[in-house]
Amino acid sequence: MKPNTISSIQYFSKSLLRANLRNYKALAVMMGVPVFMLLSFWLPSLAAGPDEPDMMAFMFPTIVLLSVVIAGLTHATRLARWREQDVFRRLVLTPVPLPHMILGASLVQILMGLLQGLVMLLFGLFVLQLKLNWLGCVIALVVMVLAAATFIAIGSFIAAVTKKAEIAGYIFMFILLPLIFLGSFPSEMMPAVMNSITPWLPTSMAIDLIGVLFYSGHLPENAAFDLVGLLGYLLLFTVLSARKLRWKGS
Amino acid sequence: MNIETSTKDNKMQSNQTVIKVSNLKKAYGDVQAVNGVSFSVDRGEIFGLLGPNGAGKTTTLSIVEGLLQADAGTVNVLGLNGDQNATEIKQKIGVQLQSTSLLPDLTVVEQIMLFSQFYGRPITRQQALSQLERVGLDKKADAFPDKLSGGQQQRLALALALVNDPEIVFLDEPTTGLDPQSRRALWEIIQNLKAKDKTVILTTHYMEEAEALCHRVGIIDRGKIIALGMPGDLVNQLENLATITTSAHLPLETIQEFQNVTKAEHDGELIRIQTADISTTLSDLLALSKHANVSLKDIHITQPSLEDVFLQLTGRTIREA
Repeated sequence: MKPNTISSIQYFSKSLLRANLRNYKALAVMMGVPVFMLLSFWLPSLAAGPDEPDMMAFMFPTIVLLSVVIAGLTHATRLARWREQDVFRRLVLTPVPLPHMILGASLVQILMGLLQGLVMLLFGLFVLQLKLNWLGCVIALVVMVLAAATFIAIGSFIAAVTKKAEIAGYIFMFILLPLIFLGSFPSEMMPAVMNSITPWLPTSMAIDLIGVLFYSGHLPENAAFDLVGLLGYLLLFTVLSARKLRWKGS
Repeated sequence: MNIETSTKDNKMQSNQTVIKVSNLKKAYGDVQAVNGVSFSVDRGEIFGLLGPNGAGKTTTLSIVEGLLQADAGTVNVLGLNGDQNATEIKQKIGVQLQSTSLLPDLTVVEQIMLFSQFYGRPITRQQALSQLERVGLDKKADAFPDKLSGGQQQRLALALALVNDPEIVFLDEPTTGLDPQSRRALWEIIQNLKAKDKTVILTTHYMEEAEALCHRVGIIDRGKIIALGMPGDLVNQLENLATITTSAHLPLETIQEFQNVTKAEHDGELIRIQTADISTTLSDLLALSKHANVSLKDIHITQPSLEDVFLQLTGRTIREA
């Protein structure tokens, strides 16, 4: 990659990041929804008896992950919209290769995902006073980056195979929501048949990793499987989206 | 009429060919969008590709810009082969697309700064503002694209096409959909490019735009260039197309016998006369009106235009095509 290209990508990323951060309404929604979800599980948990399961133990990592990977939704709709509005056609006329610009846009969404996850984490620590392991939380940030990148790659692939931004958004949510629910419930609460499937889901891998890190500060026993699995999904969808993504609409 | 007019503008500052397109072909399925298009453009020239919608103008331009791959033919831009040197060519050209295609989340001034960066020419906000001033958009610097009018969006697209101080500027239907005032404003900017010795290639389906702006035009229809030359030369090659109309009550049979008159007929209350020589026919009409003691009133003279060139070559008007 030429130095000019690198500085162009950096500048492009900075411009998009600035645009994201000043879109206060969108930011408020992106932050507000997970906060509302956290509160809606946290308040009933205060009234739970000592023998009842700790709902926050599995809902907190799930909601933090949701706030991280939702960045993939923004990415999918943005790419599809740019293609719809012929923005790609304009970008491709500049000397900077388009895949490099998409990389720049992806980096911004990873940062946004991480920022959203971090806000949820701080909300859990300081507002909800959850007993989380500090070191584990720091290590979990790395997992959040990996999870965000994986779902941004999935978002890129969805944008590549759909014609309209609106449809890309629907498909992303259609895929994400079941994955989140299936990936978040403890195995003892799931039917046996589902227990053979859920470990292979990217959401299960990410929630397993960050859940254990949040509460214990160390990696789970099957951390290698989870990390390799997430990397595998990231690689798979990056390759697929690179092969399928076109700058022009049909 | 000759397909190619070899005459070039004597005022052209340099004859260096900066674009050479040879036998370009491009098909979309069964539709042959471009079918053997060839032309060349000299440095400092404003060259227009004219034709109705779907004639193949944008496809031709897209191939020259490097957006599309041709099925056959060659493109040479600034001495560089279009297939092998796409990135180098992109560094040296500026493109305004038919659709404005602006990044929706960035303000006007941010778009200018970003695109400058893409060409390895980082600029300050102040420099970006002065670039916007050239197209009269400095007061809209902090607006988002969706808050700009159609004309303002086109001007921003033009400013983006100029951020790298390109040697060649491609303008695809730059004034389509604009009101007359915005169109005139854009013409002025394009004429300023001419003054800076920039080479401009524009596509348009407005004949008067081509006549007003272009040194040379290529008229394109159904994927083929059907006429190529200076607008004045193309129009001058039309015979018998100047028209004189008058509401004077003069004997039609006498007018039909005038020298140089090719056709004379009644059109309601008017007499419509086609002539190969306006001045001779006018003086004949004056003499006739004096002799018949009839006042020669409501005289209108219509000169032939590129629209008539298109009509004569294709049998259709550009709007019918």
